[in-house]
Amino acid sequence: MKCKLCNNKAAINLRAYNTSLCKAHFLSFVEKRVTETIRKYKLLNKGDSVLVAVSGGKDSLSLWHILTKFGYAPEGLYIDLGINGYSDRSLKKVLSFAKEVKARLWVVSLKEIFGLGIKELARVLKRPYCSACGTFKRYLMNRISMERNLRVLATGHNLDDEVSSLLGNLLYWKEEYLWKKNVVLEEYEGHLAKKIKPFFLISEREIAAYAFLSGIDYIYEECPYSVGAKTLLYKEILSRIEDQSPGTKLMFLKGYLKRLKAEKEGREQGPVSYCTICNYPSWGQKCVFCSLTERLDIPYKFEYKEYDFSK
Amino acid sequence: MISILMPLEFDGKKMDIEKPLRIRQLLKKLSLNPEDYIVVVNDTLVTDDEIVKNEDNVKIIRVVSGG
Ligand SMILES: [Zn+2]
Repeated sequence: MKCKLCNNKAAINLRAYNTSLCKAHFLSFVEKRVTETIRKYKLLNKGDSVLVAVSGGKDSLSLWHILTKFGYAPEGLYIDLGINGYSDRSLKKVLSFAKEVKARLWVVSLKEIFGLGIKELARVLKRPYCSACGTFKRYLMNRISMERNLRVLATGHNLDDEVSSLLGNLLYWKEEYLWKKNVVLEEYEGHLAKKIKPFFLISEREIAAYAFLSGIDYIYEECPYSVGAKTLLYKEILSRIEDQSPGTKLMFLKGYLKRLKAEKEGREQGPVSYCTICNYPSWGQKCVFCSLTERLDIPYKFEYKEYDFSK
Repeated sequence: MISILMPLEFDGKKMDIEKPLRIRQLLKKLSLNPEDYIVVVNDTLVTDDEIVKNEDNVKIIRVVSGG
């Protein structure tokens, strides 16, 4: 197969775009589409200070790489979930990547805050691992980006993550979540940082190829608790559909964004309350994080480590 | 004999092939959906029409993550 642009040998075939590209043309194809996403959805402005949440996987490290390449000089945040072996191995990848891009990295550890890892914390909250994990990650990402005054929080969520969660929301008609998903969530001064997903329209396969071709050393291993997660089942089914009808995933998600716009215009935001301790949105007086620190008798302030490789 | 390396799945598995075959057919033989993998032959990322022969090092990388 040849590159559609230069006739050199192709490195990847993109059936959704009906094209095949060589290494150089593929890398610039991905970068161009990320640039378009950033511009179209107004994700970033020149001079924005950015915090990238990194797990050591292909998505987040590629995102850190690409935003660095674009000149945003993002800082990284790694959340150590305290999962035996897996957390240490992923932190190692993140640290060596931070050194390579000469960036600043923040490391916050659940075990250092609570004396407990995610497994134990999920038990205390009587919640499934993945749901408890999501709650802590969202809280810590937001709190640290606000504390560090890094106004934009970027995550590596990709097309497949979004499409599979959209499918899940539709299958069970979770209307309370359905229209909350977006490429960008605006800042809410004093409460929430601006959140962006520059890979919203880029597939996992494209990111894996991008990471490989850019020489990014990421962790292949999956979180041991994600085994059997529903997301993986949805992804498997969507991949089979994609294999039969290339481009379906992209169409599904773009159709969602189009409808989201119409939906948002006709709808008022419901009343939201905020945690009386930390100002994070919450259902009751206190958010999940602050009520847990109270319950376990842990101080409100916690420490996290700084690794500055930028000098 | 081609060496197939699939990080974390069939790490280091070896497979004998009678005659050269295309990546597309190799994935089919292994019952893998091509949408879920990228394939690296002798350290180069290749498309699925690439032909592998004995003595090639094939790395099949799964692209799906738990999220
Ligand atoms: Zn080319």
